[in-house]
Amino acid sequence: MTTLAFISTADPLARPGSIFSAENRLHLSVVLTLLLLLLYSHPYWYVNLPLSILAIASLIFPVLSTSRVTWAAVTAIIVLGSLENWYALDNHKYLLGYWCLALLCFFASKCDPTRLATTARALIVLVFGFAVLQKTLSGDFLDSSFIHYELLLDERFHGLARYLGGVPDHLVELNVSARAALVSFDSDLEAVALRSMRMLEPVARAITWGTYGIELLIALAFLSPRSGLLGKNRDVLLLSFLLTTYLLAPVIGFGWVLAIMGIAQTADDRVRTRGAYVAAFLLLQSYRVPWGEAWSAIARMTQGGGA
Amino acid sequence: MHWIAPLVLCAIGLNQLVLVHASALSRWKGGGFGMFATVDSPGARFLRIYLVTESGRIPTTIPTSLRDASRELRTLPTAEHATELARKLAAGTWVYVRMQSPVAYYTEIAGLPRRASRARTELTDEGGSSTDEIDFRRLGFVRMLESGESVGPGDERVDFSAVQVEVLGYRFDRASTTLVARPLIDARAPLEQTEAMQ
Repeated sequence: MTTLAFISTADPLARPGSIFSAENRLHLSVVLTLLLLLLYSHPYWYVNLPLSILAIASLIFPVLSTSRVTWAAVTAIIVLGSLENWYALDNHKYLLGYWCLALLCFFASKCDPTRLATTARALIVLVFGFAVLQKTLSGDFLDSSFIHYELLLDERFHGLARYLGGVPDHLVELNVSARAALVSFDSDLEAVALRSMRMLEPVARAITWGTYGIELLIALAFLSPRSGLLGKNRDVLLLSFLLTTYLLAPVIGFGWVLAIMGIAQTADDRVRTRGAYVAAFLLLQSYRVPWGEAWSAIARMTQGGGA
Repeated sequence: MHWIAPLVLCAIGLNQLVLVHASALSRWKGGGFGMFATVDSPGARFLRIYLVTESGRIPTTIPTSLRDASRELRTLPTAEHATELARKLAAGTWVYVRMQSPVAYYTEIAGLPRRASRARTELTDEGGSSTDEIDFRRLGFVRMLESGESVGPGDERVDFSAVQVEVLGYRFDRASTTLVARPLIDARAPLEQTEAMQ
C-alpha cells in the first residue's frame, strides 16, 4: 500500500483516474480489444461487419463493453465465422477468438482481475510455446533454411537481404521469376535454382536463432514466477518482440492482441509497463509505412541531389 | 472458468499438430501457431490442372469461382478434396480463351454487324486474330465458364474426357539454394455422361 501510495503521488501515470492506473487496467484492455475488433477483426465481411457494429456500440455505450452478452455475441460471431474458413485463417484470428472467450468468461464469472491476468499469461505462454514447438519440429527452421528462403523470396525481407546480405535487385528479380516459373500453371519444371550471396548465410543464421531464442525466452518468462530473473523481465522481452518482429512482418492485428494480453497481465504497480504496451500498440501503426519504398525514394533523391 | 480459453487453445493446437503429421496440413494454418516456422506454407503448394483430350493434356488455371476450394486443397491436400475439385472442374463448360475489345464483345452479344477495328491490325494473320479479338485457340489457352456465363457465338468448346488435378509443394534445398517440387496428391475425374450430353 505504501508503495502504491508513493507511486500514485510521484508518477502522474499512476494517479487515480489515469488510464494506466491499476484500477483502469481492465478498462484499458477492453477498449483496446474493441479497437482491435473494429480495425483488424476478420477478413470476411459477414464476420467483421457485425463485430464492427458491436465494437462501435460498445465504445459509444460503455455499459455494453462490460456486458457478458456483448462478449458472448462477439465470441459466437468469431467462432461461427471461423468454422467455415478455418483452413484460410491466420493464427492471430484464432488468438483473437481465445482472448474474446477469456473476456466472456471473465465477465460471466466473478470478474476477478487476477484471474484475467492469469488467463492472459497462460495464453501468451501457449502461443509462444506452440510457436517454438512448431519451429523445432518443422525440419527446415533450425538449420536456417526457412529464413534463408524468406530473405531470397519474401518481399518483406528484401531490404534486409539487400543491405545486410548484399543481394542486388537483379538477383531478387531473378529469384522471384524462378519461383513464378516453377508454380506456373503450364510449368513442367521440377526444380529451379535461386541465386544467393555468401553473406546471406550468417544473416539467416542470426535471424533464425534470434527469433527462436526470443520466442523461447518469452514462453519461459511468462511461465516463471514474476520474482525470478526471467519473470521480472517478461514485459521487456514481449515488448522487444513486438517492436522488432512486426517491423519485418507487420501483422498489426497479431501485435495488438499480444500487447492487449500484455497489459491485462501486468501487476498493479507496473503503470509504466502498461504505458509502454500502449506506446507499442500505437507504434505498430507506423510499421504499416512501406519503409523499403521510402528508403529507396530517399536514396534516389539523395543520389539525384548529389549528381 | 478462466482456464477455458487456454484449454481451447491447447485442444486446437494439438489437433493441428496431429493433422500436420497425419494429413499434411500446412503448419502455417489450423491454429497451431506454426506461421514462419517452415517453407511449407499454402503459398509453397501449387496446383497443376489438366484437361485430358484426345490430342494430349491441356494445362489450365483454376477458375475464380473455385479459388477457395483450391486454397483449402493446398492447405490440407487430401485425396477427397482433390477428387472433389477435379469433379467440379469436369462438370464445368470449358472454352478456348478469346480476348475481345469491349466493342467487339458488345457487337457480338448484341448481334450487330462486326465493326472494323480502328486500332492497327498488324496482328491479323491466317488464324483470324486482330487487335480487337485475339484467338488463343492454337496456343491451347482454355478457361471454364463461370456461373451465369453461357457459350458465346464465337466461343469454341473444348472436348475433353477427364480432368486431372495435381497438388505439388516445393521445399528449399539450402545447400544448392534450389526450390525442389514434389507431388503431394494426384486426382482425376472423368467427364460425366450427363455433362458430356449438355
